[in-house]
Amino acid sequence: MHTHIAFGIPEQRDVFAILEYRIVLYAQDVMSLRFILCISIGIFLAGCGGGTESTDPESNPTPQPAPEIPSAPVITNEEAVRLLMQASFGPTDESVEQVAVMGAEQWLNSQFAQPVTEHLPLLNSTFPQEEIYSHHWVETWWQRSIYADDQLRQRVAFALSEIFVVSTKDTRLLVDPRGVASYYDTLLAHSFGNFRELLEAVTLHPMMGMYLSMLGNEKPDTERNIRPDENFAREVMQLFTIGLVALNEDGSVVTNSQGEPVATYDQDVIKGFAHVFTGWNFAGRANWWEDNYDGQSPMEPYEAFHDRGEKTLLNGTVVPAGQNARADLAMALDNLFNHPNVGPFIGKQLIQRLVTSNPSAQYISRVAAAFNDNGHGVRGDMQAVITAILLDDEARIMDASQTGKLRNPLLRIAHVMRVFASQARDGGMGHEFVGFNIGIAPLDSPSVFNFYRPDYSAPGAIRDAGLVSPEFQITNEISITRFVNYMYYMAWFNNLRGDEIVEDDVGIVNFDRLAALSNDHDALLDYLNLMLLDGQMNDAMRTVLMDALEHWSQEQTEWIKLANVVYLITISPQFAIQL
Amino acid sequence: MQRRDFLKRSLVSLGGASSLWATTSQFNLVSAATSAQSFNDYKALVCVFLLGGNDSLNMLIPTDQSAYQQYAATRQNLAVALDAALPLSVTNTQYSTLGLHPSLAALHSIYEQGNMALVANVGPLIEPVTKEDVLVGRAVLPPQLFSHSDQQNHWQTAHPQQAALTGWAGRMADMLSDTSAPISMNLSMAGNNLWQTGTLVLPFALSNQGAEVLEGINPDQEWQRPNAAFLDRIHAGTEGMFATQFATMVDRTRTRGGLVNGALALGPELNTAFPATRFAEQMRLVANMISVQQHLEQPRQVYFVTLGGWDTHDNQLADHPALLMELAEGMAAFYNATSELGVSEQVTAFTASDFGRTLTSNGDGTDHGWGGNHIVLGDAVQGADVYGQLPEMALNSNDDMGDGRMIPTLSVDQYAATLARWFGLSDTELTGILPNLTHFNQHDVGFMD
Repeated sequence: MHTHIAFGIPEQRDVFAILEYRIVLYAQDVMSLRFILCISIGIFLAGCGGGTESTDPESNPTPQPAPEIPSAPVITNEEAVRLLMQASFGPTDESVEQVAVMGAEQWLNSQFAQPVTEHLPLLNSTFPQEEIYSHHWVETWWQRSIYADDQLRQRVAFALSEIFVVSTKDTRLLVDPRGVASYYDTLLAHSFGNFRELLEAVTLHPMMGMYLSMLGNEKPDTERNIRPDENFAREVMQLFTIGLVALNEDGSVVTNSQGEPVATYDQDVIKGFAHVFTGWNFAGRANWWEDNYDGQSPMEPYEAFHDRGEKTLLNGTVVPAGQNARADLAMALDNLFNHPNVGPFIGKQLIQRLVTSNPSAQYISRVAAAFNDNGHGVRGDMQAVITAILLDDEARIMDASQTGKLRNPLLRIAHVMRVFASQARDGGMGHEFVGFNIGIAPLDSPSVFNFYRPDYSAPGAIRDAGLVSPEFQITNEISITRFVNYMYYMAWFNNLRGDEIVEDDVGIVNFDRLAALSNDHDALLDYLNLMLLDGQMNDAMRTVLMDALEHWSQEQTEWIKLANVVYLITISPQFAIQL
Repeated sequence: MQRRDFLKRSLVSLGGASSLWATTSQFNLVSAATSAQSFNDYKALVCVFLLGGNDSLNMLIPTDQSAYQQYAATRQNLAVALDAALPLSVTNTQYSTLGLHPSLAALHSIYEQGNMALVANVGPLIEPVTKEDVLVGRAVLPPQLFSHSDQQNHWQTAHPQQAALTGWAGRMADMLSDTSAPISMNLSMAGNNLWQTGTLVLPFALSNQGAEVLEGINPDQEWQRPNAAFLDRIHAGTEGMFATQFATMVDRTRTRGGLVNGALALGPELNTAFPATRFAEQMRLVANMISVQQHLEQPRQVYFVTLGGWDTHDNQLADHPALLMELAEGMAAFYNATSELGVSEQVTAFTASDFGRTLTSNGDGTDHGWGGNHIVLGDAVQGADVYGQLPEMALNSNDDMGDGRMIPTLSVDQYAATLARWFGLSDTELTGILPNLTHFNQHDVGFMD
């Protein structure tokens, strides 16, 4: 065998290969500020990695030791991993043990009690320089998503970030990573709160204000043919609360006598909301036109620009004339919040993000019921909704009818990072350019319609069966190639290679646990089956992987075998699909 | 056994992915093997989808005195200055003189040479409607007018009465293409999309570089072949609907990517300069793919290219001209490249977009409208003219549904039918892919040869 060939690529080519790989990918993207920046200051890879310029005790990625274990496991390790795939960014040895002894419900409650691990303070302390870029926010997003203790909250906030979409594809957001982190913190802050407060916080965040142009939206001026901007008014209904058509509690569509779907609103309602959402601008301005910028504080009303006329909202609700901007806003958000669609509309999407693409009508109905009433007469209690989603039999009991979901590639990458405690030597994560490399990054969707639509159905068997498969919408020849290559590099950059790796700014996966099992292929595959595949490795796959281990055992270097088997698993359909 | 079938089978039987990692010599075999069905010529249709809703009513400016005054009064600060508009030759329209938005300057001479047309006030319709029909509620209107997702779907499916599952280019490919061809006739620079999705034919996604090369399971590299074989076996043992679908897509990527890249390597170097924009890079790759169509044995190709950012609710005065310039320069370079390749008669590019925008403004931008104007480019175009009826650029006119949302006077179906007929579809086939076309009298708008 080739002694010089490491994981299939000659050693000498290592640096050039990765460098070339990055340059090609960067060059494809005219927005790649970092590429331009790095070229111009001549420190391409060395100086521009996920480098942490200062040390922040909070960013210490060492997972906290598990709490005292009070008793024997109450659920199996497979059951624990399944919950962690739905409710966290992936299992770790510690978290599997913790969930196994706590059981699902107790673990959820312990997660609800965890304090919020915010992103913005870490971004500020890690990158204190004034000018930072989008990839800096992605860097701290990884640090928090992978290593924060409040995993459930981080995971739910990520799900919410795919519903309440703002995007760094918008250049105004691109240039304010702190504002973007502040927006994400807003989602985190309300993930376990009440939906009504979440809706208001999202509405008034200046990132949303800029993204859907409620910020600066002014009352009508007939002289100048100006009428209120309808952007936020439309999308807050279509995407953030009720959707286009009336829904039953189980998510099915309400139809009229002709069998046609009943629309939830018309253009007049959009106009009504558009008039409500007038008069808001950046906080702290002496007047509407003052040129200050505050990308983090909630927007504030400037009454001279708010329309005080009467407005008609959903279900014939009328906002009386003469109210100020805050009073109008409160009525409008109450109007949306109390619409019967919200429970099934939002509930189903959260199920799709966390558990399965195709929940049954009964499952949606149970989650919607929890939204409508948490058992204590409170509507919109997010903890009740999350509990209903994750403790439902459809989430907890594995049976043959499960079709599951394709996992967002970011979640697959996060899973690998968590299982193998990935980190760069410079203290960063080394994955801040994931968007350039695989075409998807947090809060970076092409439009307010997210990376994929909840009702996308992949042509073929899935469509023929009448099922939906949202994540397949971004699965194509390009995204598959980039993901496969990403897994190749992740497995390649493993700690067993030691000094062979010269880059300080790439994420390095820790294969110590695998190395300890390396001589016992059965035990090795048992471990990988649990941690990466949640026990879904069937006999056929196990046989193939045994053969692969045997084949790569011919290499003198042990890590080659381990890297290849991890690579094969992480590009397999069994890893991509969450059952 | 026919030679063609033999070669196809032997390619497949060589062991899945690796066998189709074609070299140049293999290409000749593939070409000979899959000689196309009924076409003895080549044509390509390129859809440039402007995501977000282009304020395309501002691409054409009425420049005679009274019409301009009306336009300027309506559009206020968004109006293009009279002396900035580029004069256009026109014969078909109700306006005696028209000007082109100055940011479209790169296309001006192509238009004047007769190789580009503008099509006025096209939009999603189920049947022709008048303002009165709309106001009294007797018009059958497409559902969810003014919603991005629904109107993008309408442009792509041309059949809003049904669930959005297939697009008209997908259905067209179902009719036209050899379904056993190694590469899909529908090639996408923007990943999966509804427009190119048929029942049998699915879009094949390309990046600006072509197909990208797989690492770790690339059968071109001897040391990676064992992994490729292991993955084949994992896929063979895969169970479950979602996992099987995923495996199928990974395999399609593995087999077809090599063919595309192998073909692209055989293409000529283009002398035409393309601007350094993302859009132009996509258009360059389309030109590259067109230049190697004979190696891919694709007598018909359909491309989907997107350019985003058109949802100009604010900052329109700065953003919209920049977008128009990016569009025009990219399309002009593409046209020049097809001329260089000698295929400008055989390649037609056209724009599509969610909707036009409101003539009224919201202060510094516009909202979602309905009808809009479109560009059709290529030597097969009956150019240097504006087709269809330009709407009156005034508020509360008979064209205005309210707030300056223009009621379309041409449907997406009519626009699509004109293009698809040129592409080779018969009358029956046209109504097959565009079921609402029968609701409109004119099935050919006349802008194609």
